[in-house]
Amino acid sequence: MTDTRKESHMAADPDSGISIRGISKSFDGTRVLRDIDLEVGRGEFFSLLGPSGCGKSTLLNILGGLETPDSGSIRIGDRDVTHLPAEKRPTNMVFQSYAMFPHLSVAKNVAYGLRRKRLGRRERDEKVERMLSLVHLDGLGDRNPSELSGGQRQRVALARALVMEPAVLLLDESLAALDRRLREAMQIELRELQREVGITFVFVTHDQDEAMSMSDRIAVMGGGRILQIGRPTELYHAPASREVAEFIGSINLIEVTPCAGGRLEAPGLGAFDCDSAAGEGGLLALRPECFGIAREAPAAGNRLEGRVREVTFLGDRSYLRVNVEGLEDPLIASCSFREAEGLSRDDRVWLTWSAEDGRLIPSDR
Amino acid sequence: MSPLLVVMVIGVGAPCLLLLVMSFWQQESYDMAAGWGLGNYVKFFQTPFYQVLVLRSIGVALSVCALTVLMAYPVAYFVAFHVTRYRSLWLVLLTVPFWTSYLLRIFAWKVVLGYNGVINSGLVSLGVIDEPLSVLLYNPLAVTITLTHAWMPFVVLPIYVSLAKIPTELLASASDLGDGPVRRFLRVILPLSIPGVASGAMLVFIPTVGDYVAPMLVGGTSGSMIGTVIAAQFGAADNWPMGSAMSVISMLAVSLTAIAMQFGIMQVRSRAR
Amino acid sequence: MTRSHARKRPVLLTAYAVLFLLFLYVPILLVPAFSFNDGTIVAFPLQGFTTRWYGELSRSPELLAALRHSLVVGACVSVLATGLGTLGAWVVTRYPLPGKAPVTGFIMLPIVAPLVVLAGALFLLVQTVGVGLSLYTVGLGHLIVCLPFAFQVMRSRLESFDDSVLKASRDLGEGRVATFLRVVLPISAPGIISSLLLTFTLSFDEFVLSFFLSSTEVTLPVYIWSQLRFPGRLPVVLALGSLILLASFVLVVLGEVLRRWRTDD
Repeated sequence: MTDTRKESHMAADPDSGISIRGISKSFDGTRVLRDIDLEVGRGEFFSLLGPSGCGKSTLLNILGGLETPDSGSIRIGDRDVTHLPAEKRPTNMVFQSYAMFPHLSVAKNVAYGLRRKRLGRRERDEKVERMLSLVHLDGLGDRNPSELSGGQRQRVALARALVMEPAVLLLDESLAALDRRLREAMQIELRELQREVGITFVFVTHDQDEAMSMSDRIAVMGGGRILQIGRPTELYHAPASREVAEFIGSINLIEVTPCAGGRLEAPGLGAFDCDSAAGEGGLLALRPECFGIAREAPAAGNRLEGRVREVTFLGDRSYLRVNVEGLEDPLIASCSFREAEGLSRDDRVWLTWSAEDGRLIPSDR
Repeated sequence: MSPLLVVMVIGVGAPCLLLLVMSFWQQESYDMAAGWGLGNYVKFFQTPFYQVLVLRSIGVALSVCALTVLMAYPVAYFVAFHVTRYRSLWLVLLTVPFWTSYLLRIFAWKVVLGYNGVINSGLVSLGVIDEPLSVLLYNPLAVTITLTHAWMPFVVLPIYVSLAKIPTELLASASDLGDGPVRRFLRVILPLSIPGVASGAMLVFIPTVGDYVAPMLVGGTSGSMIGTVIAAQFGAADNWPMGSAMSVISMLAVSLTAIAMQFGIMQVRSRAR
Repeated sequence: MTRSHARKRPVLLTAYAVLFLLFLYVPILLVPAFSFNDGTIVAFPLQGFTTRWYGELSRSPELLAALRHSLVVGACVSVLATGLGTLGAWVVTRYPLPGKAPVTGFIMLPIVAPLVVLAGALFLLVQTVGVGLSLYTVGLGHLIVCLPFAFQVMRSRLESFDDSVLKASRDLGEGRVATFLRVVLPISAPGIISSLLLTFTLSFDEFVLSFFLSSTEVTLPVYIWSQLRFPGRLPVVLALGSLILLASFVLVVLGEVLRRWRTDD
């Protein structure tokens, strides 16, 4: 039965960069990965996103051959690499701690893996030079890694992996150790680098902004499973579950039941229109930016009445926390500074939204 | 791992077991027949001289412990909190004497304290005293001073390590919460450095009790210790079972004292308020 | 910058620390000071400068034999102890072991054991097995006391680099053997050399175990011990001692510097 499923998957996507089937892994009896299936396209920037302990790093290590799965198989291109050791795989990794060889200079770090490729000294030096210049480290080849900043070490680690010309580059929380400003600059740089070299990147992160801003597609992971795979916009606007919805961005969730006319009803709050509702209840998910703010009761449409609890000014926009009677948590609305101007605690407001912005997701977890 | 463990089992485990077994063997002498029994232990407890030796050894070792800790603590504190640029140099300077010949370090004190030694001849040539002092050498005090000097590095380093681990923020917050330097020392630094003091004291106490070289060179008869007698049993006196029994007894005494000492030191920490 | 609360220069504490160093070093340095003294009695005032005691050293065949024994034993012991210590440290730092704490405690035991008891026990073992006292038994004794130090030096060295470096090496195409040769060995080299130097010094200076476990072939410290009985030989012993101190000092400073080499100590 498992076999037929595998067959069908293979037929569905023969040109896949990476194809992961039924990977499971336990450590000391704890299941870290449960039956993972995943396809990553050639040249894709793919992120594994999830909280710490969700199994994303283990999956990355399995991809790189640094861990062996208990079951399942991995193909890269048309090659089954499940039983290939790390040193023989067409993958290279950028480690979270960068894993610089402390006894080697920057250039020698980058050249480390080339020894096996039996290149001439000249050719090797040229490759190293080219790679260092690609990551904007020209002229630093003779430095010792300990003399470099975190961002520079990050680039050396990138160069060291890329010089191997891997089919897939694996990045393990590679930006986590950098400060915010540098991290944001590196996000853009990394994305550009990926376009330049044109190979598949698999990027592990717990930072949703990072994943959203860089990736072609993201797999959100939790508890050793893949919760949802999709483009960043899909994950944001159409989360498949409460877990995904809550993990990506902030969101308001209102428990609703179906009622007459295909509408949704929240007990004590009224009935709402929702385009994605199909006759069943669940959680009505509303992103903060879906809301409009009205100071007087609107004539029609979805609306909720409440009192302002707090106004937070964030520069480009303001956040409103609104207490609604009958809801445990305040609703969060984001609006322009102008819309929030003059509002203060305990002011009466109405939050409005259109039927297409609300999203119904199953309430069971 | 396993080869290392094998060597250690052969080199430490087996001999110690043998020592224990041997201590129950009775060597033939005029009042005792050969065979198994508690004879050696009985003889030990019937000979006040042996008991005095054990007590004196423990006394000397405890004094050495106290002296080394008291003398080393300020230096460890100094290096941990006040030395920034030359810290490695200080650490190397404090460690190096430990690695140089133990025999020569002890012997140096014979040169210092002897009848014709450095102190006496120095004082005489300065005209402070007319006759050399004979009280400097060949007594427990000489042994204590010599051992204190010899074991000092063993204490400085553990205390330094425990002090260096104390985060600066902790001291800052103690000051911030209203403690002056003295109270901060008593309430934060001292309790946190107690593990270092305890391990340093332990590293000194146990080997010092059984020391052989110092009592032989600078101890004389009044400064002889249990180690010299044990050595004699394995050598000139040629009574291995007795030597074994004395080893076992002193190890037991040492362990008990060490446990009591650890307990006492840890009290300092738990008393902190 | 670090330790910023230490604003004032602590004059008293600094003075005390300097005095402390004098207390540590002056007695030891008296040995070389008197080795150049032109008189057989070790006393102030110094009688004049001479190097004749050093000249006499080379004319004592027993001394030269003892020196040779010490060098041979020291060399063998340091290599063996460092090899075994490295292996043990590697296992302890890289693999989760049940009962790791008691095992390492057992390995460190000889550091705290009273040497006389350890020497007596080893003496018993050697006599019971019946191999007879020789330089080999001395070597065994030295190995036992050197192992904990070698183990400790290598353990702190191996702990200072993290596993991801090994993973990186494999990821970049190197197998286990090549990873060991290209990564582990170079990173631990300062530790290995340091361990060799320190254990050699330890063995070279060791007295109590050598005293118990040697027969007619003695090591240098045992030779010195035998010479202490003769007051007339004292200046020669001082000259010999000075050379030993000098050698130990050089080796140990080198060893200590290497031990701390590029680790955040």
